[in-house]
Amino acid sequence: MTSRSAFVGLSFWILLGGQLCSLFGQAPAQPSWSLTDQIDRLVTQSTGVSEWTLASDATLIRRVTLDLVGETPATSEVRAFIVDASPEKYVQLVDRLLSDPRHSRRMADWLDLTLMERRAKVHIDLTEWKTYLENAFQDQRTLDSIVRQILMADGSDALGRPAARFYLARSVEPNLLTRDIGRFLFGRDLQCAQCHNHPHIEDYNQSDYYGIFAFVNRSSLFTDKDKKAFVADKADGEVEFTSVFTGDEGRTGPQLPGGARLIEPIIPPDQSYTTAPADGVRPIPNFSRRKWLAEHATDGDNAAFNKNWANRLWALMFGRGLVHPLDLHHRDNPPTHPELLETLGSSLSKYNFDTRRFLREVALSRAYRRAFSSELPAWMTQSELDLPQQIETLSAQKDQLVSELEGAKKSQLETLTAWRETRNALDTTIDAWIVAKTDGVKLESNQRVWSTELQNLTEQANLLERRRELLQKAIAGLENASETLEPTSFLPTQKIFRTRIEALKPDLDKSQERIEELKTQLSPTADLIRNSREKTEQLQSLKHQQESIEADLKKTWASHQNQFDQKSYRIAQLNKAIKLLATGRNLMDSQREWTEHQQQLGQQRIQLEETAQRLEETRQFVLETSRKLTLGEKKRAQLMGQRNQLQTNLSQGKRIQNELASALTAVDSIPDPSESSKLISIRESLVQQVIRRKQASLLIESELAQTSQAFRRTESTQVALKSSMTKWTTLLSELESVQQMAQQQMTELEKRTISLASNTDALRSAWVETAEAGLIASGLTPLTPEQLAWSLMQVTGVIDNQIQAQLNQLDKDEPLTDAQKSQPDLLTERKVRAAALARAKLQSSVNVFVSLFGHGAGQPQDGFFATVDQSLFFANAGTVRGWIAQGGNSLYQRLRKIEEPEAFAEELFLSVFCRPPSQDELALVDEYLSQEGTNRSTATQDLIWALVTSSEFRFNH
Amino acid sequence: MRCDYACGSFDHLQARRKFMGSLASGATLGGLGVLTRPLSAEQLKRKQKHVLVFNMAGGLSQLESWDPKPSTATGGPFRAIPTSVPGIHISELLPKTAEQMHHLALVRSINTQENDHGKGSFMMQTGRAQMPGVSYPKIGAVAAKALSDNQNSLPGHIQITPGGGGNRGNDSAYLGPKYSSVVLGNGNPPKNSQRPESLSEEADQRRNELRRRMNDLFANRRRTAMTDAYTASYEQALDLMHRREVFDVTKESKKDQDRYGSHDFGRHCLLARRLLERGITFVQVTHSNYDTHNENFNFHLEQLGEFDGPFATLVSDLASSGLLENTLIVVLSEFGRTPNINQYFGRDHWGKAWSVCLGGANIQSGAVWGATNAQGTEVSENEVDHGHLFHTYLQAVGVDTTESFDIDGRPMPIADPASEPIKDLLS
Repeated sequence: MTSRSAFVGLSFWILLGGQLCSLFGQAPAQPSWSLTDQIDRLVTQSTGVSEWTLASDATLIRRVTLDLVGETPATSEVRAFIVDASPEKYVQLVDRLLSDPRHSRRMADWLDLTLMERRAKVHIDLTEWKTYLENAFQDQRTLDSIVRQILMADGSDALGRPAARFYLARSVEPNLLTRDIGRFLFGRDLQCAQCHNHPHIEDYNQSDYYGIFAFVNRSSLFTDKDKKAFVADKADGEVEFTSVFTGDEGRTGPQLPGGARLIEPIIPPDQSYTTAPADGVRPIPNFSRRKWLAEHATDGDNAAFNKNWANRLWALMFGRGLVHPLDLHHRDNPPTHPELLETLGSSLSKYNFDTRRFLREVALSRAYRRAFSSELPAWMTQSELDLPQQIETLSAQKDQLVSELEGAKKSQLETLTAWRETRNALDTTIDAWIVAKTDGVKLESNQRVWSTELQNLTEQANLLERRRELLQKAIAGLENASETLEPTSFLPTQKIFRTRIEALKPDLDKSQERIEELKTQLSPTADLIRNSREKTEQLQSLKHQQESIEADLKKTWASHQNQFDQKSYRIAQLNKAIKLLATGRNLMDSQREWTEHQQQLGQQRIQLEETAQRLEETRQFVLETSRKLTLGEKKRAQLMGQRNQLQTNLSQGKRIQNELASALTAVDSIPDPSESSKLISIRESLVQQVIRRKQASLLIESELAQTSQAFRRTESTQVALKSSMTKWTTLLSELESVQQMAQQQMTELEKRTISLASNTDALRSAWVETAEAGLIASGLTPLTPEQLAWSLMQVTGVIDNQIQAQLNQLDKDEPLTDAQKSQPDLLTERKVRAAALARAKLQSSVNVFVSLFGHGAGQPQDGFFATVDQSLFFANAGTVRGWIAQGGNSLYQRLRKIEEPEAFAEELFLSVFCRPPSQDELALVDEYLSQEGTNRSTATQDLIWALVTSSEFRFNH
Repeated sequence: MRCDYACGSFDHLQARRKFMGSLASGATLGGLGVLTRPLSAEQLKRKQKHVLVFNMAGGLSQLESWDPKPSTATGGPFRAIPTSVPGIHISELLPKTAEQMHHLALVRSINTQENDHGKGSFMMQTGRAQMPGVSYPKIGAVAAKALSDNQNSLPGHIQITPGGGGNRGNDSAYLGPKYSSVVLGNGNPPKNSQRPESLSEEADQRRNELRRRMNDLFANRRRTAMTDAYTASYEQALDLMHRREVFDVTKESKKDQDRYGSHDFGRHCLLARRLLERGITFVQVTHSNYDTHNENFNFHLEQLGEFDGPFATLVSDLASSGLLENTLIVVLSEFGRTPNINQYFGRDHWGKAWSVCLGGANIQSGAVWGATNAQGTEVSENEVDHGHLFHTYLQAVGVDTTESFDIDGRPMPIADPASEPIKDLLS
């Protein structure tokens, strides 16, 4: 099994025609199913694509290892996984990764990034905070308990102090806390709702913002005399707000987004604090709203909280949430798979927020294991699938649903209004009830305080009275005595006693006065309490009544809403299916048109070539003819000359012949015979000459006849050649214009083909996006800075080397005895320790990556960006170069020992990309290694560098 | 995770050609050259706008600079001198700047009501008041985003600081790290921009060619806007290394180096000129430190003595090269300093009535906006704040500040919608 198979065309199946749609109407996934099965079923239902090809082993082990432990797998792990034939190997892999200590680190990184967005160190040390989170996950603590501790933290608990970073790094600023609690805990960025109802998002109201605000507005930063920071809470402080748009005013108590109204316990004013506020003292109230938030948010019943975390954990595995951006859960930004998100949220709560259990189910789903492809699935390209017809059918169904929804909207709105009205009435009752109850509690508290005071005062008054009586008795005694004894001797004492009595008087009077006052205050209090109790009870029963009405109406509304949502979901599903089909169709059309154009272009090219060939041939003919014409002309002239010469010769001969004939006639006319013998010989000679001449003439004549014939022949050939020449030249110019036109057409066609190609390109991207969003194909996710750093150190061998160094150090510092060396537990424990030490040591390198590849502090951290400082770092920084050229047990050293290019390439690709190389890649490696002018060491480093800087390494896929 | 395709760069199209080539079973496509021809240098030059900010860190005293009140109880010991613009007087501590006043303008009626360094700086740099839980991009990031040419491998947002540097600034908020500042600590070139000595240019080219070929094999199968951006960043790195001299002020002529002076601030000003001339959109030079709670007058004498020459030279150079037409200059602080002179001969933080100097681009040169009363204790006319100034800066370089940036479908107003520019300052 190699990674190559992942890129071969995939086969998707869709249920055709009515079946595609009836699938949407099917019963929902059964809760008794495993979450894994529910995920797959719900994804299938949502797109109508019922089966999808899974990623190759190589892709899968890289993907899941990156997602669960935050770095790429070791070469040996990849090798072992690929050759393992066990059907259980993937489940075993997932279980192994989830129990790996690196999983805790990965989760700590994730939660830190989520909650802190790389905020700088303020009050709490970053390492302590990260260690706190890592330990929490390592100790198998559940997400709700971690979040609860973070929300409750005030920094006073020495062990849990790092948990206070969430508050302290934000200086316990209530607006900042409100925004981030809204975003991170409930997935709602309520920022705009700080000053007014959200302008773009119907669901986000100013009261939602202030509902959260009310939980934290009583908290503030407290710094003790040692300049140590804590979170301090007060027992009072209500929230009122005004819209900057409408000027409307509102008032709210603490309320969770999407949650029911919360009613605070009513604490008597005299019991507000365990530690009362004072100068330099951190107040601790008996009831802390902040802690109340922690309890209510994490109790498993708040759907917004559950869905938020389910969505964030989903995004941890899939690179994007079902709701995306992760902090914009609202009606206008619905989840791509609403029912799936519902299921995930309730499952997370059902699992008691056990993230390992949740992630395991997600990792095992086929949706998670899906392959990547930019190609259209086979079912879509099948000729029997009439896409336009399909789209039309689905659109009609959608339109039907939309109109039904419009109808339902009205009745839904009516129920909503009825429910809201009841809720408002209930709210008023609750307000009144709270006022009555608070009054009652206050009265009781007064009664308690006053009674105690009265009792104390009465006791005090009695005491004073008794002293007065005693004194009076003493005076009376003295008086009696003075009657019997000498009176004057007692006078001073009596005076003293009298003065004492006088001195007691104001106190006694004051006490009496206060006692009277208290009695007056107390006498109606009992009645008032009774009244208040009655009123409270009345209001309570009214509240109960209204509550049940409200509950009924809410149920009605919820069921309407549910139906409404079901319809909306179905519409969304249909929209998705339509979009999927339409995108596919557009891509297919564009692809087809492009292919046609390509073919036309090919044909046009052939035609052009043919024309060119004919042109060439024609040109040749023209040339040949012209050459022949020239030659013929020459021959004609020659023949003409010959003919003229012959004619001249002939006429000359004829003239001589005539002269001879005249001479012969003259000889014959001589009468003297005496001269006859002489004459005879002359005559004879003349006759001979005439005969010779005649013969010569005949010869010339025949020659002339021949030459004339040849001349005439040549002349007629020339005429024929000339006419053929005209024909060829015409043809030539015709062909030339044909060629020109064809070339123009070709240019046009080329232009059109290019634009079609770019159109196809864009449509393919749209398809990949749609397929990715529909979870029928995997997308690319950039590695986080941490993943990138750890993976690079893993691949190059930096981690292994550092662990070895730490082991050596441990062996040196705490040598093992021979007996100890044979204890496997001890050795394993030592390795785990060394690994932890190594990781801690390498953290500073990770921080370098964070500063380059991470977003700014306090900014959303999930967008991808590529900047020059990053590539300059990879290109020139000593860090990266040093890692690549590592000694010890590094990739570089392993590669140096491999001679054979194929084995070299395999080791390289398995180590960096977790997959074997393709033929092309093999060839490239071979070529580079054998290139002239490079030595093998440099070439090896270059090859590692080229791979770790490639997109394939930068992304998870 | 959005990343736009439409960058139209050559590499992009090259990659696409390769991508399509692989799909087209070997068929080649011609004629792409037409699409890839970038704007000519001339066209770019004409369009390119720049912003140059001088950040007088700590809080420059308006009374010792742009708004002197000589011979009053608050005026301090320095005189006011006439400038090249009749009627405008500035402190005698800025004699060379005074000669360039016809290229500059003053706003003397700023009231930001903020006396905290952090908050004041935030307001002046972002044009908004700080609110917990909200962050806004600084003017450099906004200018880089609004004015930069996407194809430039050189950064659009540069900070020249007296020291430190090396890392990307966290100053672009929702505009993203692409527009964060590249910090040139003490004018040093960007980190890692120097090829290691052990790596020859030829060897670097060889390994980069290998990287391209390896990467293409992956891109052929899984090309997305993200992979394109990542791949392009390596080409940009090579380009930046190739153009590294842009950051090297020692490449300026000996004469110019002498004119600007050998001290840090002089070098930084010359570097700023060099960067602007080479197409960088935004440069901020920080001059520190004006936080003169003690000995205000001695410190200003010293600090402005250093500032005046290089600043005036830079203004004059930009004016004579014509670059000033397209370059906005701003001299700002987080606040001004109190008219009241404290017992240590210092002046304290003062956001109530202070000044900013600006000029170039579409700023009305030689103008003065607003005034303070006789002793400089209050704004007496045309009061403005950070919001007005921010609108004015950006409008001076042609940015419509009533528009919004589209950030993942969320409209983010470029400047505070509740404020507006000082229209009279814009020509």
